[in-house]
Amino acid sequence: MTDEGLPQGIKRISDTLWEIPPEYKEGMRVPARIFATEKLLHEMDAAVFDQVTNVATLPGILRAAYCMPDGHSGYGFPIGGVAAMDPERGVISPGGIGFDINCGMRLITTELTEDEVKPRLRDLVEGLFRSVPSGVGSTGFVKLTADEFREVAERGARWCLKRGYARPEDLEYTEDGGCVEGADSETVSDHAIERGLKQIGTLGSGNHYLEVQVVRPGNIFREDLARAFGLFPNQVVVMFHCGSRGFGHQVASDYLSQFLKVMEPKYGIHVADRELACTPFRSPEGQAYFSAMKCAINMSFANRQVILHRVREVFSETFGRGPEDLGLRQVYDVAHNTAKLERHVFDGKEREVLVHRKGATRAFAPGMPGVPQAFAKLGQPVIIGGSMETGSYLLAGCAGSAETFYSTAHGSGRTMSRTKAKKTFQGRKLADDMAARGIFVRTGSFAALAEEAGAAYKNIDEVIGVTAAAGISVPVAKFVPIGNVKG
Amino acid sequence: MPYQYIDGITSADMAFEATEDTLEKLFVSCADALLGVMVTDLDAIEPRLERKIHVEADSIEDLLHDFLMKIVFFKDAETLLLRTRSVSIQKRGPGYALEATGRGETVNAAKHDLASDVKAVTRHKFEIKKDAHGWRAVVVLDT
Repeated sequence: MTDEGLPQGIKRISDTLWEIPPEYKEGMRVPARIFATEKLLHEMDAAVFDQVTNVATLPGILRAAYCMPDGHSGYGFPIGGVAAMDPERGVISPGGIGFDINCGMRLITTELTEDEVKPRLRDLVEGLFRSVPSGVGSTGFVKLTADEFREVAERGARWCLKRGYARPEDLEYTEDGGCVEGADSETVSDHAIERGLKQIGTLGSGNHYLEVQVVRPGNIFREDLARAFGLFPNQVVVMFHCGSRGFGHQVASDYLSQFLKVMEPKYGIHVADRELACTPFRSPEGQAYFSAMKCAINMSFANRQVILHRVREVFSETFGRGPEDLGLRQVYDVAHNTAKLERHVFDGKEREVLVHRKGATRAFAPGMPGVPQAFAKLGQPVIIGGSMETGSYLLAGCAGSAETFYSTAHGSGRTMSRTKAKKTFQGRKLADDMAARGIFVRTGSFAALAEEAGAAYKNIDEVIGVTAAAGISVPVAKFVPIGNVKG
Repeated sequence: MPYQYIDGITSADMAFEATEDTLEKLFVSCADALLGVMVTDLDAIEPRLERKIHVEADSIEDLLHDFLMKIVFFKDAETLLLRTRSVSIQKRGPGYALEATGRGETVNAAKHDLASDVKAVTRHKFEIKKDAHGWRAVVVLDT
């Protein structure tokens, strides 16, 4: 490391892109590239540099191991990590997806303005808190048998359509149409299903949230794109962030344990970090995990769809009007912990690659297959969440992110540990301070709330600024929170 | 205190270090440390229900990992907060077997001061070692 705490030999490629060359660490097959300003780079802890350069040692990795500007230390991969592999010669690594498979974000517009919502804000947030359970041990209203849960894992949001929890357009405006093909529920354990069985329609805890937000007029950066995505000044929108709950976490744990047992004896692969455990993508174990991961991706899409159903019910009860009349239309739903087989141009030729995104968002450019028809000229919507005090962003994918396999940031990234945040901030006081600033928070745990203080996170505006300056996504609008449900 | 939460290992989640003079007591303290991330006051968990816990593993590391994952499993699958007061660990063939009885009750937000949910027990910096004073473990939890 240099005196400034940066990796020896790190090169500035531009104001927003840095490269650690392969000579930095034995075994690196490609460079590591980090999107960040110099300030954000210095805020990244040493583990980020260690982890992204470890990722660069994985067999079959193409072009570079990437870290997005919200990068911070994770398990195996840094959070904000992107790595594309050759599917024939490369590996799949659960650490490149994360324990919370398809943790993601959903954005809903309404026809309501801030002035219309403010008088009923407390009732609205209380209703959302009751209808969308959050926190330790929370269970949802959807009662399923194990066989029915297997169906959810295979059909994702399509199952919700059958049950009346979705409109067809909700699926159209969800990544992968809310269901990835090839999810075989035989690849998930009964244990994982038992663990997740009661949790459909729940938010989770930690950095998960359900927010009521406002599009303030000064926060629309691209009027053309904002209008096309359905935004208008002073509009109230709803955004939520959650994933595959206990089911996905167990799938990840199950396969990480299995990979640790077979990786070296069967495939002769050695990794610097147990959390980078992997197997060849085309191996039986790799394919089984890929299928099981898809089951968790689908369950998470179904989870967010059921939550949307509850959000529509609560809005309808609070304002005494039907959800159609209130708007409550989905802009998009993005996943940020996945591995996907995608077609990208590499060395001048289009080919299939396996893209790991761990705490990173897919950001397809205009015209790419997979972008909803209505957005074909605009680019894929990208939803990036800030802390509960600072707000979140809507962006659009663009051609500039071809280098990162059309990937961008996912959030603002932590700068302070949960342990330290719990000691530094007091949950009740934080909630009171936020209320004084016009943000009504409803939480089941003030201890957990303290961990989520805005000061524990990077500056979201800075993170978004980097994605824009680096040309990997286009900011459309910023949303500020006025109501928040946290577990 | 047989365990403490530590900084400097993870910014996004929670980590603890536990030390005890016997392996069995270490497992019990680790389980308490894990529960303590989720519930501020462990004594508020009354022993109204019990579940038998059986784990077999090839190594002591896997045994501890899998035992703690059982606590996480019951929290989600049955919304149960289970404490274990003692465990028994035996050699079984080339590996180990653990038997324990978890006692506790259903999660109750009004009664238990709930904090952060635990998603998984990671392998990140995972350590369980015997030293001159007894046994020591370091565990990072994904929260």
